[in-house]
Amino acid sequence: CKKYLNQSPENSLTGDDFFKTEADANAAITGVYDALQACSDEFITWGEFRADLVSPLSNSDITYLYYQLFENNRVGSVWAAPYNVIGRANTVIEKVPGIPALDNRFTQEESNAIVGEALFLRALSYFYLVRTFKEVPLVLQPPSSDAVNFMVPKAGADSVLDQIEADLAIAERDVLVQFGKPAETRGRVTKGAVNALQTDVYLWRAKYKEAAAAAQKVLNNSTYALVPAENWFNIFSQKNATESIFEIQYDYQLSELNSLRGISGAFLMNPVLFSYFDGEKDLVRGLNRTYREAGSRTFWKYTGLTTDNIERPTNDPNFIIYRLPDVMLMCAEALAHLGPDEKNKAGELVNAVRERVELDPYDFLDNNAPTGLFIELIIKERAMELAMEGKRWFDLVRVATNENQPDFLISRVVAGRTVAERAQIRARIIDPRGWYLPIHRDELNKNPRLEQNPYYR
Amino acid sequence: QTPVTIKGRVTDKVKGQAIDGVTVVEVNEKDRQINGANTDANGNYTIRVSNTANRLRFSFIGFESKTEAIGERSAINVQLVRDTGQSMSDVVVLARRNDQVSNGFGNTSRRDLIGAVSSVKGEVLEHQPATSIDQMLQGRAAGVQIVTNSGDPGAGVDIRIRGAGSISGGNEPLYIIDGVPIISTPFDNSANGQNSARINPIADINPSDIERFDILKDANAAAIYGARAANGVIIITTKRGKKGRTDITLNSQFSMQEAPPSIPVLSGSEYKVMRLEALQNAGNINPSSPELQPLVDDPSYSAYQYYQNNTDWMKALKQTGFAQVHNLSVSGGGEAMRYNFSTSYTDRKGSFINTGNKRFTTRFNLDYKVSDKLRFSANISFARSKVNNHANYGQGTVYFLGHVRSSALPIYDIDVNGDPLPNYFSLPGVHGGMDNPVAFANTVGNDAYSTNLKPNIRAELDIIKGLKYISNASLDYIGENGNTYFPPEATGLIWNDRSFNRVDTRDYERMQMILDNLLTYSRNLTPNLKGNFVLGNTFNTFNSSQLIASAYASASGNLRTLGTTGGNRQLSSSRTTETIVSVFAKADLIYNDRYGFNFTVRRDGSSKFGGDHKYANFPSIGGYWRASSEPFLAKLPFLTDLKFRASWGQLGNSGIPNYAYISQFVAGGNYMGNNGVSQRNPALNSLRWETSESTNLGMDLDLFKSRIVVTLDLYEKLTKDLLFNLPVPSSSGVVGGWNLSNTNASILTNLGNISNRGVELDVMVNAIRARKAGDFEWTMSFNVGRNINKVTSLPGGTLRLTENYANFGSQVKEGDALGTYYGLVFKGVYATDGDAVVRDAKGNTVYELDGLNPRKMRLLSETGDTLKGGDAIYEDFNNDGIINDQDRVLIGNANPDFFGGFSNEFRYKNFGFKFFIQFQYGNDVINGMRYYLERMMTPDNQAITTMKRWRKQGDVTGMPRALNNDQRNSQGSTRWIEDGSYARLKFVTLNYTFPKTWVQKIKLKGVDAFFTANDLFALTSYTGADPEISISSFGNNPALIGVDRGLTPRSRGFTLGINARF
Repeated sequence: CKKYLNQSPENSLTGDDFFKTEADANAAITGVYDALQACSDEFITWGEFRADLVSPLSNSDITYLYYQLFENNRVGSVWAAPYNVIGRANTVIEKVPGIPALDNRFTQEESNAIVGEALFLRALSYFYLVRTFKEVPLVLQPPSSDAVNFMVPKAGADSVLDQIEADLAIAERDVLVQFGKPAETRGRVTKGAVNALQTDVYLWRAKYKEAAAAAQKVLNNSTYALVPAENWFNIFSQKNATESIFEIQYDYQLSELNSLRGISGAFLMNPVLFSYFDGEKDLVRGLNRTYREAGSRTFWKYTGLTTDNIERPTNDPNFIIYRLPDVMLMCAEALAHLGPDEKNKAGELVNAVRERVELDPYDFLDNNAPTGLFIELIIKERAMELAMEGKRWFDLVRVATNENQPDFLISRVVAGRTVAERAQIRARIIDPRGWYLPIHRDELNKNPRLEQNPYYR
Repeated sequence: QTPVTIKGRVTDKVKGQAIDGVTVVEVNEKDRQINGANTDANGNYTIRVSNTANRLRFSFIGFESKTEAIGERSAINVQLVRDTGQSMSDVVVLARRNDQVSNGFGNTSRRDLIGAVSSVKGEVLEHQPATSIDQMLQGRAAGVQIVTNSGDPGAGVDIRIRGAGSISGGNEPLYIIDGVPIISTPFDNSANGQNSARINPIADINPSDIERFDILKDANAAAIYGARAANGVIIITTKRGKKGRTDITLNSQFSMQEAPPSIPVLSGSEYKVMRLEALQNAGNINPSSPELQPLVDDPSYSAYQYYQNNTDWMKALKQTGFAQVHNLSVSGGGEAMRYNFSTSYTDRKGSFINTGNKRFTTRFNLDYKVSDKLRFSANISFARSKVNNHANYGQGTVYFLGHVRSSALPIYDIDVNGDPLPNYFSLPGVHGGMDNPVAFANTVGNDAYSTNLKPNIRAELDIIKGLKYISNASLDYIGENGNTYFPPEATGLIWNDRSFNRVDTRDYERMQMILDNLLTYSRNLTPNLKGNFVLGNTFNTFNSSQLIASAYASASGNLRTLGTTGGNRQLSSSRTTETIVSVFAKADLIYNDRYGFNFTVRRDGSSKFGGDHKYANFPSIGGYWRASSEPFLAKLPFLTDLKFRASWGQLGNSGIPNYAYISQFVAGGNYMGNNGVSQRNPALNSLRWETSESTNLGMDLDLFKSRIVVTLDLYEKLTKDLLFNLPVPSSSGVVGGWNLSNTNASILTNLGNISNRGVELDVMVNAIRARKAGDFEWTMSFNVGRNINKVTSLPGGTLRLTENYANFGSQVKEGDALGTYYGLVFKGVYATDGDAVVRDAKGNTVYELDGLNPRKMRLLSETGDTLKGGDAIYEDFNNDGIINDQDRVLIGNANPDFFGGFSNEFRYKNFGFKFFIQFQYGNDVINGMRYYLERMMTPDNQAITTMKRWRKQGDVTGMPRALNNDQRNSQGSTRWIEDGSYARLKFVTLNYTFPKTWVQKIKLKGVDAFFTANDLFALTSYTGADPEISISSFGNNPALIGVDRGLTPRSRGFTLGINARF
């Protein structure tokens, strides 16, 4: 009778059967990356579309970001994708350490490396969440059974960021420097990726010494080298360039797709960015590289295969999380807040990024230049180098918050709107609490312990 | 003794005519029947008798039976005397008293019944052209709410026996045919599955095979089905062969169904004006913008000719339905063996072009008496059917699409001069896909075939007197094969699109195997005490498998198989098994026909639950008291019977997917070409059975020898540990099933209680009784049920649910009924911009901080859209000037106050006339069709009522302005809620039995013909096409029931039928 009533599924593995072998560990961490592939929409939406470099085409349905109009039912507030990464990563973090005891071909180091990757992916997801919503539920337990409490309240931004730092410290110790396959070195988590994220996190928290130290590790890492000017566009079109530290991989031949090509076609480049390229006569990064003139200025980074007119056949560009110039400029921003020697070094880093794209160095960026000027120029350089890579909004929020200059963000965003819209847009972002998104209505409905963010109560 | 042949002739004593079809039976001294024969058209018979000491019995309906001793005679002529009226009614009363109610495992006489059971006999449903058996029961049984899903042929029904008791465990009853539970739901009930043609297994049962229905409504009646019976049980008994007489019956029906009524929509030019206003009101005033170009009459526009039409899409899509049903049955048998064989063919053409179904069924029921101790019976049924449907892939029903497509666009392509071209017009994107529903209807292939086989074999062995062993083995097999094909004419896609020439094939197979073993013991314990005991067990194995394959880019529209396709092939398959083991025991004791008592307990084990929750016990207890047998009442001459019943019991529900409690890891997500595995669902260790506990108090009253028969029941059904798909926050990392994304994640859990309390009344009045055959006779029956549904406990008090329809966010709240609507209160339309200002509780205008400008009303948030002239006025309950969730209040309830049916039957001479009215009262409906046809915010065409819309400052009207892509005027509000009460004249039937003398001339036993009109009219204030709205919940959402989603409305139909008996 008992046997007759014990039926188990054929199409799936039961929880008791899984996490027994090395292959299971690899399949599980691959599952985490698979969830990460679904995040590029969110990452670019949160990091780019609210800022000042892009405007949606009038007939698109994503204009609310441009208008800073966030009701609590907007798709932009859906945080399911990064939490999916977190949920799967939590499972790996809990279950994989038990495998070496069951499978003697699977060493402790291999196990630690996989757990390290999961810790990084969890940290990365939380970092996007904390920058976008500020206070979010801090879930560290896998959803393994109904005994787990799923209704987790919000945690303060600092405790989320502390957790991120702690996770990254372990990840830094355990993950590999390089993988056997070159593409995996850029597409999976390495020490360089961990250090890059550490730089970003410390900079966000205005821990400038730590940020500079973490960035220095990336700069010392021989895995990464700037791509020469003539190949700048190949960073995007050919993927996994030498300066790439971590990029989410896609490939249409493997049916691993995203919507970056389509989504970037729905946005136009704003005059402010055009004036940067135009004013500096930036031929390496400007026309037919970052953007294209085809009646209007649409983005070409994710759309093109060449600097001519040949388009990518389908939606499979990689989404770059970190590449070397990003870390160099973050490092410069951190150093600019430290002593005179560090400022000299900061100037060198900014100029290195400029010289790589054949622009004149700023000869005045030295230990005498005020920090504010450094920041002004670094943020501009980041706009030109990293436009449409999901960095701009976070740059503005970071600087405006850390320098205590709300207007650094407000004036730039307002300037990126038409004259008629400016007063209204200013009113909507004048309160820095409004820089963080509301929690989606569905989440509030499903989790009674969740509180709406202050600006939207 | 050697057999002797006896001949003779049977005649009518008064008229002297020969009587055809008289049953002549040889009976022995114990009155047991030995052998039988029938008289021919001349009244002659021949019978071989085994013993001349036996007697011959002559019987025929309408005549008194006569028994003759045989003795030495070899020819026996008999004259039969017609029954007088008095003895006729005695026969009726006797028949009613001996009425056996089936509980699936055996019969109980209605007189001894304790639980609540409604019975409907097949003959009541005669002449009713229902498309499937479940539809036949609509309005026939008190407390059983039945709503057909739509007017489409073969459409399913929603049945709620004593209200909805479950949220996620399903509310459909258990169907038992001839003692065997059957598969009764379509294979894939998901929203996606409903897009394809699919088979409703209940519709594969031939209505003509049905002898009777018994609907077990309370826990006592259904106790023996324990874990599967929480939603009630419908027992179907099919016709069996009768002893001594061969009947061959042929019946044919021809029906036509009017095309469904449509809702008047704007003409092509009116449509363009409306759209222009909508876009201009939304701030688009540039005539050369792509949205406005087609609407402003500019002949230089490249697609100008496509927007100059006035197409009536509905007219092009609908058609007059036609159906023919043919049924042949042969039944008969002798002492040892009886049989009933039937076969039927049905062909229906639906109300929309290219829809319909065909069905072929066969049933063979056999009873074989091997000896006095051993009996076998076998029931075998087979059905093959085909359904043709519209494929709509989430775009809405064809009825909906026919209304909302722009009337300015043509059906067929036209050239620049406006001359028609032969191909279908297609301009993808105007309506976001499926732009040409006529092309879709005509070119898309969407059909499904099913094969349905139900063999069932039963053996009964008498061990000692009163002790019987019964073994029952049965199989229910349903195979279903479906195909869908999308040619470019329908989709408008060109060859290099991924979805070009798409082929979808699916193969489903389900099989249920059941083995029952029963021991029954029945005897008089003392002269006054009857006892009946049952002990049994049952094994149930349910296998289900599916194979789904799709591919794209077949080389030509005529190549519609997978092998001919080019790319993007996708395959999936799965197999699941469910097992149930049960043991049960039942005891009935009846004392002196005055007191009855029963006790039932069933223990179930199911593979669907794990650990400690695998097994559950379901007990039931009940009793009756027959007051009319008490000496002080027995004297009352008018009181034929008065009985009071009381019972209590528990039943279970396990309507959840297989393996739900097991934590599963599935492959699916890849990264860099490596295969990833991730968790699909958490382990649900605390998941357990849903239990419904019901208490029933009943009264059966019979006055004036069944002139008036009343059944009254009061009940309370409390469902505990509700199975519920609890949405969990996506922060949990829990994913939503196979797609492994956590946007709509949920876990199955047990939470909360629901109560259903109600009263049911069933009255049968034999108003005018025939004194003798052929006299005028009038019988009416009336039933009404009232059910109050209430969520009595819910952790947290309120569950807010994500799925919504027509901007109705929904919730389940403690204290409310399932199906309670919350929304804004709509109060009209602002005549001017100046009217749309914020007012405080006293009605005074509230000013901005500057004290000069009145504050403007806003939607959703303080930075939201301001309301203007022409916008909807919503009640701002908290006077904060913002219309948001705080202003949403309870505005409706989908549950009716009461519902039931009323039928009348008249007979006079050879004529019969009957009509049947079905009604429900007090339910609210979300008129979703009106929402989509009056919101004026998309390129959809709109109802003619929008001509009254607000157009300029100062207009006073109830219809808001047209406003493109703007939610201001389409909020979920009282504007869309209507009273769904109705009373519908469901059937009117006139039938005529041809005179015997006439029939005999053409060598038949009997011929009768009927004419039925169905759905003639409905009395309702509902403004939609049909007030009969499906009560199945929208999506997975228990709060959104009673939503008019534009399913095909019912339309008038007429049926002509003829029955011939040979």
